[in-house]
Amino acid sequence: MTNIEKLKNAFVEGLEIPVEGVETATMENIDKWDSIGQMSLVAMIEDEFGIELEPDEVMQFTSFATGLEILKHHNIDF
Amino acid sequence: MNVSNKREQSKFVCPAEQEKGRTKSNIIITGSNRGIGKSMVEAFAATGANIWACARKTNPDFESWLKETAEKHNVWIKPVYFELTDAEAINAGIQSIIDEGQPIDVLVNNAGISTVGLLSMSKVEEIEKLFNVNYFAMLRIIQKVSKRMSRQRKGCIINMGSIAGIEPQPGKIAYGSSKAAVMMMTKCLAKELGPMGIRVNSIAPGPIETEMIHQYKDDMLEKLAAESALRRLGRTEELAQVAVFLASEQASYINGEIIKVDGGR
Repeated sequence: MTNIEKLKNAFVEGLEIPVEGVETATMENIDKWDSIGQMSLVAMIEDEFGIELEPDEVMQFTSFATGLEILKHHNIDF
Repeated sequence: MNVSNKREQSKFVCPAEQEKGRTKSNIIITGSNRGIGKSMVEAFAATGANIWACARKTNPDFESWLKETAEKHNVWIKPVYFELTDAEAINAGIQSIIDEGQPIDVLVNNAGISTVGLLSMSKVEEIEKLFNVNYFAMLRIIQKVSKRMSRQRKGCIINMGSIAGIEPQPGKIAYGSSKAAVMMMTKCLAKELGPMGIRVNSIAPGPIETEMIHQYKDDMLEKLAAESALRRLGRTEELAQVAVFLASEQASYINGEIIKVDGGR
């Protein structure tokens, strides 16, 4: 599985959304992406990539696009 | 009911895990090398739970005792060492548990330190140190472990509070207020983590017969015992059994509670 597939999979499983809408997902347009969904998503991503996000990174992780950028800072290539 | 049925009933394996074929719960206990923590290790092992027994530093006697206890109850008990005053050490210690990749069913935050002193005779730096151990170290551990539990959509966290955090006493400003903070933390986290199936509760012991309490003189110990309606100090085993209950399926709808275990005051 490539890193982008891993990330999409984390969104699908963490937020229980279909893979089709993942790339445009934001906290605003996904009902299940509330604070609980956020925790679930972050836990999924941390496990998937073997990293630990700092609290300020968790705060900034409000869309698929911002998440991608945050993960790049952890030296994860996409 | 025969004895074997009674034993079966006392185990607390959640049904979902039983379906997956997992028959033993995995539990983290901090401050497990003496007093209440040691009794908790014994009590949880007796229910058939595997344990990560956290303590401050390596101790051969402690490790021998863990090995004996594990063999006696046919479970595994692994020592994990870290200093609660050292944030990096806490993170590394808890991460080593998480890296094992096993489910974490229960976290018992038992480790803590106690001081007695009037504010006028206390150094604020010492009070800060006490808060670092009793409150911030606990918060740090929960932050990491609850992420794992949230993946599982199930978990139980038990934080050791104290009656000193409920009843104001002169000389208890540091210890009492740190435990009050722990108990409020418990209530807030119960609300935050509840939607993910994680229960968070606290036990508030009254005076318990431990090494920690022997910082008091005999006449003070007698006075403490007299404050309880049962006219005695509590035993560590009595606290451990409350933790076992809170962690069990029998307590599956108890969340955000502070359970006083003080003999009646």
